[in-house]
Amino acid sequence: MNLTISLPFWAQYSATGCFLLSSICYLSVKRKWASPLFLLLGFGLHSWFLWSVGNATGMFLPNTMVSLEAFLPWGFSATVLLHLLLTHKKRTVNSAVILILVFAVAIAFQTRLLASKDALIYPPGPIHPVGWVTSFFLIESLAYVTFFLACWYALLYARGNEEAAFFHNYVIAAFVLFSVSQVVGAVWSYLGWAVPFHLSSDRHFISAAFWLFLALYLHLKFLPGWTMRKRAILVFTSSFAVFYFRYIPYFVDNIKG
Amino acid sequence: MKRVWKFASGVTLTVWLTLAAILLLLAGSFYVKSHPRGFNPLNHSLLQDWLREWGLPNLDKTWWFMALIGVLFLLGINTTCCVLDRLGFHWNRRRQTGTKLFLVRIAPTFIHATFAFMLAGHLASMGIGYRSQEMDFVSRPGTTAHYSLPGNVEMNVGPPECEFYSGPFAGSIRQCRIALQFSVNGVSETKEVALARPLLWNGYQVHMSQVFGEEQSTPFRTPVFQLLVKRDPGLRIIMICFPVLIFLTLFYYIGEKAVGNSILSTRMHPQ
Repeated sequence: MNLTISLPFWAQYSATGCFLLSSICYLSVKRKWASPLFLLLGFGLHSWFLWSVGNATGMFLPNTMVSLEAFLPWGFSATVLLHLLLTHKKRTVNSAVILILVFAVAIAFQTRLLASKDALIYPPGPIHPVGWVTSFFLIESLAYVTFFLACWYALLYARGNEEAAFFHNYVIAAFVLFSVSQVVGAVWSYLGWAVPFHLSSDRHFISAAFWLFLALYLHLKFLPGWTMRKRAILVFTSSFAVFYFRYIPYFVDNIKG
Repeated sequence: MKRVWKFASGVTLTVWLTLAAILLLLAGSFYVKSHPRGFNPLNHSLLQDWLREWGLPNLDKTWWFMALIGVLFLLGINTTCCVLDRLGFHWNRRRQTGTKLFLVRIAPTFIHATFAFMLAGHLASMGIGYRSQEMDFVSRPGTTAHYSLPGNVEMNVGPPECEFYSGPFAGSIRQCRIALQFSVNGVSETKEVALARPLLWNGYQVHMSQVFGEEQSTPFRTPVFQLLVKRDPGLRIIMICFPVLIFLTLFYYIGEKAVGNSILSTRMHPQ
């Protein structure tokens, strides 16, 4: 698809800069109060970037805003900001700005690379209806966002931060969101390809494996010996496998075209 | 016997079987990517037909799939045993726990029962019913074709009619439709099927699917389509059970928190 599009990459880079400043403030002794403010600013700038992606073709396509990995930093910052508003464990919750920064930097490179390969915007079509695609990717991305945040807080908990025990709630949220996304995905797959589970798609097998992993984690607390700390270590270490299987093959495929 | 039951309904077995299923699914993700031609027909064939034609002669590529079916079958048995075990346990204690706590504690049992139904639904979906083969029913621009379906059903398939995008995606397909005329015992009925809008008629599911090949994606050109016709009794079970599972999960976690808080407040302020 040859589309002449111009995107405000400056907004994405500025958002990443704000996440960097937010991380520096979080780590500094005197400027901790400024960390959430920079996070909020980064969230605003990233929202602008995503909005521009959605309107890049002259036709508003919300599916392009949520189906790219560029949505992840937005999802991370929205979730952390919301949690900051609702909790008194602000310091622990705020620590996730470091995770957001890591993702934002990697995704800024990835977005640029995809744009250079003309693989950033996909046209809508009858079997990619905007409503289904948007709903599926929005919920699925938020499930991965909550899971990776769970991994981050699990790391803190495993290292002795008792306040971060709420990582368990994030895993539950990831399980519920991912289950909802799989229902939406199954309906979309049935309408588009006549099957609720594509038995020849590696993507569907990987999703099933991830769902079962979340279910497995939820069962571990009933086994003797699986303390909260052990479960935290499991959640954190699983993040590498989940990241690899969910993102790397598709990124490589997109680059290859 | 008691020991066998305890083992069959135990969480330890659940964890090991789930772990095995995860590893097999991940192994499978590599195999389906490397052998798409072999695994693709599995989507639109009955399991036994696929096994006979490709699955069993290529065991070096499909071993994980056989193992996965076995593991999921065992997981289904384990889940059913666990459900029966917990149901009896909570039912006997319902007077002591009170209705609210009983309902919250029984929720995971129903979650697991729903999961077992879903597994059964997938098995039914793969092995029972009717599936048309690739290119059995074709719709070409400008022509009408006549086909027969099982159950003395005659089907006239009209030519595809397509609309195209203008503007930035000019030439890409916006939507295509095919008119279908069914005749059973001399009674005719005309219906329409469109892309991503399957037709449900008399227990049949008719899906419209684009045929990929040369000149099939030329801008502003109506391509050739095929119709996938099937009867799938398992699909309804899967589609009903998944939202039920989510609802019950939400009910359990929200209820657990609410009941936990009320128990805590009763302990702190006993009346």
